Amino acid sequence: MSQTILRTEQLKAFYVLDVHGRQKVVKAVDGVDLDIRENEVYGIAGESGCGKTTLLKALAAAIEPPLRLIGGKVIYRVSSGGEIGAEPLSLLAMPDAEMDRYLTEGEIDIAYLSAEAKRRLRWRYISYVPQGSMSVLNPVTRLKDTYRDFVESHVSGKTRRNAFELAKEHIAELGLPSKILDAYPHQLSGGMRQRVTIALAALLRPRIIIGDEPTTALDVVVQRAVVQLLKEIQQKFENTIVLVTHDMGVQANVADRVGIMYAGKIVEEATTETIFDDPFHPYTQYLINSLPRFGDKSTRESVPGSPPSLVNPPSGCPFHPRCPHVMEICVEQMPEHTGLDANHRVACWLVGEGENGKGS
Amino acid sequence: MEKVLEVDQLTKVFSLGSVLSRVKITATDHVSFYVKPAEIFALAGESGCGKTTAARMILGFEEPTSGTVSYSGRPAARHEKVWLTKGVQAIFQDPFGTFNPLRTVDRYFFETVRNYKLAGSKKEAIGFIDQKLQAVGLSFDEFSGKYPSEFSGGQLQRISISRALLTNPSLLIADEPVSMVDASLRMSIVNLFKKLKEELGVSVLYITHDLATAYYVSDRIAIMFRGNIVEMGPVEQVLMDPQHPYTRLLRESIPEADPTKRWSGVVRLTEMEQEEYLRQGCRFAGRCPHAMDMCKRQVPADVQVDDLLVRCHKYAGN
Repeated sequence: MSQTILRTEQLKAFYVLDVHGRQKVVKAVDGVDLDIRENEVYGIAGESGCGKTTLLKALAAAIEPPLRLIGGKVIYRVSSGGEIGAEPLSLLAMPDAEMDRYLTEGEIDIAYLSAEAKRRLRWRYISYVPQGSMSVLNPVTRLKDTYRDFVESHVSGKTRRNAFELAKEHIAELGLPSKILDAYPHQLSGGMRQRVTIALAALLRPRIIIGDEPTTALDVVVQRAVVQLLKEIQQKFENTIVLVTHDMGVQANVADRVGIMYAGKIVEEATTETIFDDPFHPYTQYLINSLPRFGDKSTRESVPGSPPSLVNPPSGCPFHPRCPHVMEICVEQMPEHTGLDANHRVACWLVGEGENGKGS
Repeated sequence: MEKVLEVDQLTKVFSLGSVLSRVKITATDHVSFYVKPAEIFALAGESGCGKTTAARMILGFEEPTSGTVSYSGRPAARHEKVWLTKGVQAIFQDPFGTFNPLRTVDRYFFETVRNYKLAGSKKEAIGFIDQKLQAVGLSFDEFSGKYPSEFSGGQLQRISISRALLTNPSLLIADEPVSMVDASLRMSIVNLFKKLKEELGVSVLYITHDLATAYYVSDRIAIMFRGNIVEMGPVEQVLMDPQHPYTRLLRESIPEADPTKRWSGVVRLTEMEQEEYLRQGCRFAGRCPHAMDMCKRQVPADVQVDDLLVRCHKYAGN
């Protein structure tokens, strides 16, 4: 199994809002443990408002008020054991144990990264393609100027002078026509703009690319082209892609492993095959069974009830008001993750007593 | 055969640009189709294929450049607002945009009841509204006095459908009714259309880009591409055994929820937006794997292949 490149420990990120003098807390990410490995496509799926985007912001170390990191850790492995990357990071004061771990394992908690270190890691270690990213391009400059700006602010020395050549080469390598560099964003179709943005995010060969709904609001043919580009980048650079999308069809097509998110929590995680063929959590089962399939017109049922509010999430397991198998304990207590096998874990009272490992 | 809705040679041309450099874009180009009673007819295609323009013309929001819309065999007069008649009701894409956020949703219901004189007293009206809400799985007590923000997208969309049912329409025109609804709740809306068709005999013109739900719910389907209907027929045939090269591309590009069926092969896209609208001949010729010389010069005619209507040179002359 390949090594972990990014992990979280009991991550909690809440929006703390001030509404008419009263504090309102939106528990968007509530106790998430992730373990994302090198050279894999990790998909995160769930309905809108379940905290997917917030989780990505935390992973990308882009937490800004009103979003606050309430608890837990996000840990980057910036270099493999022993060797520190070419450019040592400027770090904030950290306890000796943390420093030792950084020096030996190359692992670092993002809480200890200075703003400068975060900036340096961004685009080189981790790239974030936000939602609606086809509108991030500056409408009044040609794309080559956008590329030049980008390279100049992140690369120093010799490569800087070759910025334009680098961009051109990169574009050609990913199979996009090089004449687009002379175009203004509005001259390109939405799908092309989306692909240009993704190509830009991959320009400095980051080890992790985080994509937030990169295929949403695109037509199916265009969507396929975008997915094709993502896959190509992943295969060429052997990096890690974290892909958030509610479209299970896209997940089935690209992801190696999928985490199902519900009300700020990961409720089930498994390989893509297992999620689609043998889901365990009742929510995942509804999600998979409700998908219309070609060649099969049998009746599909939606998940009953309504999505939960993250301001007042239901007690215990947040899915209990909609769950057909609800028991007393579900209302009272949130179940821990239980490993069904090495790659399959689920948070549900239907397996084990909620102790880790029971049922495996 | 009676037709609830018949659209004949509907064309809409938009002009873009200034007086000096005028570009004419044909948003819908001689589109003809009909909807039978108690039938779900899907009008599907990618964005910019003209499906929404067609819907707007059918509803009377937009004046067609040429062509006619007939409703139950009667042609709509110029400037007639079909959506104000009892028989046709519309459901729109964004359920949050349908209702004024500062008004309680029940007021829309009472207003419709009053406008069409559907009930004589308030008590009668409540009973009537409750009955329509039951049809979509809600009740009057659940919804009275509430504002749109107190409902989820799926609930609001069902309320919107229930409001449309107040006048006992024979045709619902639904423009992308599920695209803004959460994936987990989408099927509840689509199942509702099926139920309305089966139990009340309502026809639905289901306009969508989502071929998977179109396959699931509809009886017949028309695939639009850059203003033309390129293929039309029973949904089972069009989507399971597509004839037109564009339909094939579309069908192959739908991500299936099955990890064993991943995409292979490379797709080609156009880089510039307007190119395909302004193309002479068949508008798909630039991307078509079967393109012949003729395709680039001449607009293909409709060809009947068994039950299907296909607009492609490949099938002409057979």
